[in-house]
Amino acid sequence: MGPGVFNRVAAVNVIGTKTIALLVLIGYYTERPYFFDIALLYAMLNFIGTLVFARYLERGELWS
Amino acid sequence: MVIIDGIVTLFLAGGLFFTFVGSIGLLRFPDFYTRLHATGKCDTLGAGLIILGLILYHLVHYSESFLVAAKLSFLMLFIFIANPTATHAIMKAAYQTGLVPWKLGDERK
Repeated sequence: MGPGVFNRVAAVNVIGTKTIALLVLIGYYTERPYFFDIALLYAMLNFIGTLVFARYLERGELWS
Repeated sequence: MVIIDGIVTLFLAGGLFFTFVGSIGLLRFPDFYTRLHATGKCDTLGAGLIILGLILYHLVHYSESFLVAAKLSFLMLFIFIANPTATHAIMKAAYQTGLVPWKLGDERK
């Protein structure tokens, strides 16, 4: 997906969001409700990962 | 029951449509900013509509367990708050780094 690191971060974010929807749908299809916990965790990890990556790309370092 | 199932089908089809349109925008737009403009809104609304349809389905068909519906509601709320924030953060990082926006007549980047 695209040249450059920003396009790749955007693609990771989009794939993560689609994975959440897919996890919820699979949880309903196979009637296993603990898939929703995994979807929640995945949403949080996706959000935190994108935010940390944006901060790293903006400042060049993480701890300052 | 049949009416509720029809509404759930409508929500799922709407979510599928918005997700599909967002993916086409991600693949076809010429620039980083325009790509994020397409996906940041379409993906949020698509995932939100899919989860909203499943909440409705759960509340009608398995009305004895509220925990799953509460989890899905929290998931939808979190997606609606977090996804635009992440889009804004990565776009601001790109703008601060000096990625120039695309103008009409430029090459695809």
